[in-house]
Amino acid sequence: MSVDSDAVGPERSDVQLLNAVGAGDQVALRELYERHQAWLIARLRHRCADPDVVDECLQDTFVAVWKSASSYEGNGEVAAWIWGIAIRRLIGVLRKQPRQIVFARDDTVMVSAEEHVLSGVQYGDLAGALSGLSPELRAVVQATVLDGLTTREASRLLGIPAGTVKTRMMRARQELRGALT
Amino acid sequence: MNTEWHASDQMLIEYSNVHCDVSTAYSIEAHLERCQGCRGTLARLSGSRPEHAEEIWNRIADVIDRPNPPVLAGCLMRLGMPEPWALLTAATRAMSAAWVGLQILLIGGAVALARLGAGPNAFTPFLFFAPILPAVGVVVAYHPRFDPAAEITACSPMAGAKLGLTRIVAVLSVTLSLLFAGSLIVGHGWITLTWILPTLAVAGATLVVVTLIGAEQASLVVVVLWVTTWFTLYVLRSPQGRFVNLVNDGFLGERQWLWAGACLVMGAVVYVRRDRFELALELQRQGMS
Repeated sequence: MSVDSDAVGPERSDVQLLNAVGAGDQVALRELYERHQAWLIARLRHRCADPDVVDECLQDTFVAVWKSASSYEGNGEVAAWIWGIAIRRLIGVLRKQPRQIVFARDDTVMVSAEEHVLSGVQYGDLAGALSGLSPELRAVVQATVLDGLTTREASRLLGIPAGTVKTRMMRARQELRGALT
Repeated sequence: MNTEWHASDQMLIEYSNVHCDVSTAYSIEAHLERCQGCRGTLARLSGSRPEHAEEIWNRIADVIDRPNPPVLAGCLMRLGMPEPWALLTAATRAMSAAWVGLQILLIGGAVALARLGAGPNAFTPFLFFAPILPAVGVVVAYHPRFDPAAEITACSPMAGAKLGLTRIVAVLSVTLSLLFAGSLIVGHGWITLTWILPTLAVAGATLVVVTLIGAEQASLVVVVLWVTTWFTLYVLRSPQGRFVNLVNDGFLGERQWLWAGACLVMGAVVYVRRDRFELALELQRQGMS
């Protein structure tokens, strides 16, 4: 599944870079950082409106990558592995500070027909169904489905009890099922 | 799987500005994890300043370049002590291998005597010497002569009564743990634990004297007082009594209540005079003497 397990020329793949980082190669960490920081910042900003928290979280993430690169088992995308660290660092940083506005997403934006079609390629009718969910339910879907967090992690990220995460996930599932059939 | 689908530039720009609808965001996030090309495009389009990324990188490099803290400081940090405090506490000479080794040697000697000798009397050296160790340890923890960085530390914003006391507490806990381990090895039942209250009381007395006349003299005074008191009592008592009996009597039975009372009194006095544990004050004393 990994496209870049065979490096072409001098360009090292993410997996190779991560292995090098595990062996203590700081240049490799730098390269990994340059490749991934932009999308990580963007994705973190979708979950936390405070740019300082996002920066701190990005910093913590790559320090954690440096320390735990050797524990990467070589299966799955490196990007997904790094994101797994980043989202958990975000939970950690948010827990230290007074609660930030998480999931500050502007939902009033008009979406062009072209984009609807494009996203339709990926998700089909799901796009409309997701847009129909309330922000609270969507936040839970995002944390558990997209970010792969456990119920407890999601509850810490969103600042709601674990039981609430479960019930909201159940309701979201019902609503999605209703909208799709 | 979805190798044909790629995010359009427009979508990526909107996504990086946190300005797109939820289904697009979900699609992009799921896709970015697997597509290096779109990640690169996002980096190119996201309009973030390169200096900003550089600044965060410098912070990362700063953290990973830092040497690992000494083992002891690492332990203290894991116990929840903030990093500067842990480093300054562990920097005490009292935590050095030499001092800890000396204590192990002394306690080991007393333990060996107790194990080799017969009966509870063999335990007397342990009881007699146990309270002296923390009294000496306070000097090692606190005296500027034993801290190569004393002058720098005293000028730092952290210096003050709290740091002095933190170091003393750290030293005392090491000594007390070693003594405790030693008495467990001796294993004469509850009698082997009778040193605890006297030792705490003597340590408390040392701290009180430290606030009056400084660390170096305080330890000397307390150790001399401890030794002479027992010998005076021995001389004053009937000559047929044995010294070991006297020491054992001093630790046993109702005497423990006296020691407990002494602990409380010393604790209270130390608490009242806690502001006097200034490293700078100690430095000043040394400068004047």
